[in-house]
Amino acid sequence: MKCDVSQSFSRHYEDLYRFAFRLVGSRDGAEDAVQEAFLRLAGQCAAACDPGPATARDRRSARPGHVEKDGVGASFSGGEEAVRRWLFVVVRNLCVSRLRREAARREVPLDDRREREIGSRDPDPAQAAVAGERGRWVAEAVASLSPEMREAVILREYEGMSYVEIADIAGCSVGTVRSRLARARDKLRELLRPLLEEKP
Amino acid sequence: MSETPNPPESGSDAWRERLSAYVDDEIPPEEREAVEKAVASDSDRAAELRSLRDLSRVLQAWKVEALEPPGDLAREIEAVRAGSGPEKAAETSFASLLEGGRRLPPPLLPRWATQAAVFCLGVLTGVAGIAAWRPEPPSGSHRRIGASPAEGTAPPPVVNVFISSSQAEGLLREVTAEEMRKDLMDSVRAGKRDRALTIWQDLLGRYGDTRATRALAEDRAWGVLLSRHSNMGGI
Repeated sequence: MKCDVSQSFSRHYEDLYRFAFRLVGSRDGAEDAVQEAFLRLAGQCAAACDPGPATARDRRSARPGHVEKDGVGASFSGGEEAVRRWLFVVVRNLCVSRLRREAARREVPLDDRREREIGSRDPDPAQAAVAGERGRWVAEAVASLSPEMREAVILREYEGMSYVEIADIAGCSVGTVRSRLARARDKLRELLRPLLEEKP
Repeated sequence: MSETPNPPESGSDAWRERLSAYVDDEIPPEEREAVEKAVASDSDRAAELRSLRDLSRVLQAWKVEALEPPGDLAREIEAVRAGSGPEKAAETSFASLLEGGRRLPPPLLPRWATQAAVFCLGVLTGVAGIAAWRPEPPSGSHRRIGASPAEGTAPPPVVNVFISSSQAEGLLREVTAEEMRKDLMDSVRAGKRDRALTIWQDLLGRYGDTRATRALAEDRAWGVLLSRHSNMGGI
């Protein structure tokens, strides 16, 4: 595969940053994940130019469009679309690792706490009608989802990905994506009921 | 097997999954047809469908402005792509930052302040020594006739600087940590990665509360280098 990291960088940086930001909820976390992903991509490209002896895994991952997940790493081959998906996989894995580390440091699980915070807020539609406030409300509601449901919602609703693409990135079956999305939407409809009851 | 399947019971998980997939246009045609029939004949199901569509609209209220990518990221990527590998790139980047001054963390203590601190500590030590010093009373048999007072027992002139012992200790820690930080940077420049990491661990363990350690911890290039080694099990 011809490596053009600069092109990938200019094409995908913003999408990856937005995805990471929505997933981890912090600018630093998002920047770190995206930076790391591009550095790994550059490393992959450098390795591709000087591959060395091929291993069984190398041969397996040399299939067009192949995306292989291994911890927070992944390898790819194929066109620009495969590169994009590979970058999403790496960013996703890095973000999930970060979320797990952060969750482990907390006494109260983040999900429970955020849910309680949202549930205890005064659901005043007039206040929520302020654009910034609506966005914050939505952000908190999405953040209250489990990481698995959150990534499914983000990839579908904000990145417009198909179930197959989401399954590829999340490392699960299409059926699982379908189930996660349905449960996530169920929960979001409860949390965002005041906004949903507003007149458009 | 081409007949339209019955839709799952309204309110069931299976129905919610199917409706969600319908909104996303992710169900096969026969299921789609069944959903449309069910929605057309059941106002509750129709309301649920509207609610799902509204949810998609409401979710779009969350906007995220993409920031400009960090200025040096493209350079780091290019260094890695050039074949020197991620670790080398991080090192190259870090070393170049140190040498070029760009994104170099601001001096923790200006050079003059470091020198002043060392001077103060020296004075403090001197004052303490003088305080502990007890001159022997001059005895007539030992005193040289005609000797000036400065030649014999008189103490040298000193400047008294009063700082508390905790201030002195804090100052000493800052100075030591700053020296260690410089040593770490020299090690990175010289490619002595293991030594740099040993110093870093020492800084974290013993001088974690100093400005030198905090500034280093916030340095992105150093963070990149560290993360490489974390992934390799180096730390």
